[in-house]
Amino acid sequence: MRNMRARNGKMVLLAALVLLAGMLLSACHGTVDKDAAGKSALSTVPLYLDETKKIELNFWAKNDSNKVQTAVYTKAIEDFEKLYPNVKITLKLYPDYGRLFNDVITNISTDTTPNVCVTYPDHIATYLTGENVVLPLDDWMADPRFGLGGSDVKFDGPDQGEIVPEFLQECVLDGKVYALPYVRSTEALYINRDLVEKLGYTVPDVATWDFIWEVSEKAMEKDAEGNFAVNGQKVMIPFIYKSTDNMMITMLKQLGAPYTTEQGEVLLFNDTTTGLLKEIYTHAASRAFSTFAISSYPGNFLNAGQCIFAIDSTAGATWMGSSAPMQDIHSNQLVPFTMEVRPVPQFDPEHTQMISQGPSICVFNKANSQEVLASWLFTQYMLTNEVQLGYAETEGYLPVTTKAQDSPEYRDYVSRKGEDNQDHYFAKIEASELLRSHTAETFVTPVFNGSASVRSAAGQLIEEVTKGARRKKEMNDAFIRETYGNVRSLFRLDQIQVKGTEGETGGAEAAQEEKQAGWNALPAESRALLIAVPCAWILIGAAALFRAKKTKQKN
Amino acid sequence: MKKYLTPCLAVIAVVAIVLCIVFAGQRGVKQTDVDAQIAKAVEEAKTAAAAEKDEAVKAVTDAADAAKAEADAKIADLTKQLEEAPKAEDIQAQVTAAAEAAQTEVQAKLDEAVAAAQTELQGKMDEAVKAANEAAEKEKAELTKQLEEAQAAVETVKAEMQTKLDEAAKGADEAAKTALETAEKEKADLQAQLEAAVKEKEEAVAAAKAEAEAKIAELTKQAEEAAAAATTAVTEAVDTAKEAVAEPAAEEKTEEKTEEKTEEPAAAAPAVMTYAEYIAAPLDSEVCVQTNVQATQSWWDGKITVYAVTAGEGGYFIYNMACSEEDAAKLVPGTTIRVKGYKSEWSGEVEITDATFELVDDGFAFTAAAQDVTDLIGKEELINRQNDYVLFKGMTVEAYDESGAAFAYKDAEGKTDDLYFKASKDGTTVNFCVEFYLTGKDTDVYKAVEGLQVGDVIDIEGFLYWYEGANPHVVKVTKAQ
Repeated sequence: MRNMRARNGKMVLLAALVLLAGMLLSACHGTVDKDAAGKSALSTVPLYLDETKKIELNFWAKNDSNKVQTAVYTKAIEDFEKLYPNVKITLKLYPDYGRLFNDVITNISTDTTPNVCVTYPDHIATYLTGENVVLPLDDWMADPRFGLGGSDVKFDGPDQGEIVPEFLQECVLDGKVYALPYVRSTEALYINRDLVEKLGYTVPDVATWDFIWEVSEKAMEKDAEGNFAVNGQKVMIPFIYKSTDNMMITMLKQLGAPYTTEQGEVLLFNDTTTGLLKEIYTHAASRAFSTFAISSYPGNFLNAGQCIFAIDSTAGATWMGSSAPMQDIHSNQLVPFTMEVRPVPQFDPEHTQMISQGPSICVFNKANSQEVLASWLFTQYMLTNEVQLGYAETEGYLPVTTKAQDSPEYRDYVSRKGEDNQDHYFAKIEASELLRSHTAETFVTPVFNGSASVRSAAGQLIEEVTKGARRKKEMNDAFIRETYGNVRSLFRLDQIQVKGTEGETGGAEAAQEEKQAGWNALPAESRALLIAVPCAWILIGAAALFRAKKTKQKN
Repeated sequence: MKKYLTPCLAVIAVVAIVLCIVFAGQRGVKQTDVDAQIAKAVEEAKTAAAAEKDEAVKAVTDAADAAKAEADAKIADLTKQLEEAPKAEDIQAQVTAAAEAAQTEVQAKLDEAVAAAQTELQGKMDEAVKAANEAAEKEKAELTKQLEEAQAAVETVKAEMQTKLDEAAKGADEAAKTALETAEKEKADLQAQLEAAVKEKEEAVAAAKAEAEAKIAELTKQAEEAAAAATTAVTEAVDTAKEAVAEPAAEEKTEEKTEEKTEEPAAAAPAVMTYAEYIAAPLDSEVCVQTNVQATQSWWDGKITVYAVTAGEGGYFIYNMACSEEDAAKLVPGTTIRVKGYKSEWSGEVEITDATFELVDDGFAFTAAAQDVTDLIGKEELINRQNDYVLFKGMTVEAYDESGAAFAYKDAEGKTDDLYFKASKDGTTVNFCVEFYLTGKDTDVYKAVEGLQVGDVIDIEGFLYWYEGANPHVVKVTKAQ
């Protein structure tokens, strides 16, 4: 009886010690500890996805007026949840990216950001001002199990080589990938060919800025009754640009003029900019040029025969043209015309340059690595062919993977251009093919904290000058100075911190700090185990040696 | 404490691992004693098991033998019964013969019965048809007679009704005429009151203006006197200095005098315009209006959009007016504001942009009643009421799109955006919008529109916004009275 009791007691103690050792070993499964400042350290890729545990994710995106695009999101969520039944995703839609951006910023301080968010690299640069807020994706992409094309991924997603490199490069900030591209577009020049020819011109393959200005001014001539001679109407705005941000940025890029640096220096206010603004002022004063903010959607005027050159995103192609599937004006206002789709105007038509734009998807870091893994998998899922083709075919977007672009379904879709004025509307397909054929000629702007403000400032310069011309303000150096000052102040450009000017350490000191940061980033249990295990082996070895020596002495 | 955590855990881990190893070692030392005991116990168990096995086998064998004997007896019994029973083939033949005989008999009876039934049925059918024909003829005659009588009665009633209608119309005309005369008289009275009020206001304004001008004149005079005094003092000082200083000092004096005398006048603020003056102003010109806030969209990022109406004049849409968050809270319905900005047009909507404002403390508060513009639907004159607070009465909800739904969300998932619906009157459809930043998802109007069905007849109040045509921003939807 006494032996039984002693044996039971020893078993209990043994079990307790095993349990303790197990707890210490639990540090291996990728849980994230808080660092010294109390913030979540960056999650690392877990060894497995625990599909027995419920995971809830929040996915924030922008709502487009195209209901089919919203349906793509909801279907993607449904299909993903079927593959991973333990994951529940809640979609929240915003009317514009500005409000989405503001909400994310507000939620960073309370650690209540979404898990996955459709966003722009400009915005991510600001999110990164919070520590460990956005997940760098390099390791996650390369993981053999859950990375791009990973062995444990349940769907047929692209591997890294199948993402268009130019589009992926846009998501690189400070040498790390912080997002995956979602869809891409560029801008296109939509032309009323009938009116161009009526004015005595021919639509070129690549229009120059001079051509656009010349034809636009010619279109301002009126007849004896006071109607515009080219269309016989009371209204004619020959040239309307939707995004004046892009207009200024593109013009500067085409001229090789400075805009910003990678480090965040604002070089927008230069002589080239001044020269461009003066040119724009001239055409705004004659009313040959206007903007979306001042007049309305270029497509509305184009479709009513009241505009000759409309520049808008390729993603807006379904609204452009008298036979476009989406119309914002009454059918009795439509004036049928032949429309051409061309690259945006160029200063040098032999060296086309056009902006690449479009949302990307980022993952927010969380304390629970399982949650982060589910978020990452859902992000990858958005790059599957089904989602890419579903979204791209609703407008003039281009899928961001060669896997989708080269798929039989997409090639078939493109080959059916013009078959109908709905799914295969010619302008929509031509616009997306414009980007596909000019991908190597696209450019993006440097991304840093505040780059979104600089972009807005660039557009505002054109708006101010255009309004000033319409309001008969005199164009002179004083006006330019005043405009520059107002815009700088409005967008707080003087508060943008240039990288490398403050708070950075370099060389060995930085390396030492990095090393120290690496050890400190490990959980306490991991650190304990890394110390304990070698100590234990040393003790085991010593005990074995001691026993061997004792046995030898006995013998 | 945290910095000792790691080493403590390390020590505990080492101790735990070492103790595990020790326990394992101790068990090894006592293993041989236990082995001998185990061997003995195993042997004993083997012997006991063998004995039990033999007993069990014997019991099973006995039971099997008994069962076998019983089965053999039953088999012998059944075999005997089988030998005594008649052969199956004989039975089969007997049954077949009996069945055939029965079948023949039944068939004969059946044929007989069918023939009889057919004859009877035919007779009855003939009789029934004859009777039905006779009855139908009779009824037809009766109905024809009734129809003729009814037609005659209708003609009589029609004549009577027409007479009554004529009398009623005559009475209604007279009543309408009387009512119109009364209304005209009331209108004239109100007009007179309004003119009197306006005149009174104008007189008050003129008086205030005169007072202000007098004050300005007085202040100007004081300023001139002060300037003259200062000039005199300076002249005296200059004369004094002249005696002591050479030519360059005289030039300095002259410059000082010039600077003191000439001051650039401050830029004149644009005068407050009437609504008519605002309407007549060209696009992109600077405007200044004094009006009353009726509603605002939600403030955001230093700007607010305001719906305003000036009593007896018309409405303004002031887009993204510069406004602090603190001031935004003061822009409640009825508040008087003076707004300066530029007259602009966007998609047909005439609005004031790049606007600033000041609160007018002594302005009278005014909240507009909705003006009925139902009769203007489809007419060009409707645009003259742009931005006014208006009422559409008795509108029939139409299907918004090919789905047949009575309305559409701009964002169905999160309800963070506008609602759109269409309603018509006398065949002319108007597009309406529940502007989310004006009336969000928790407001009565948002919920009311969500509850609309195609065919509902409703009254709609809102601000007559314009987007490529009339596109009122709705604030109230009720069932039509």
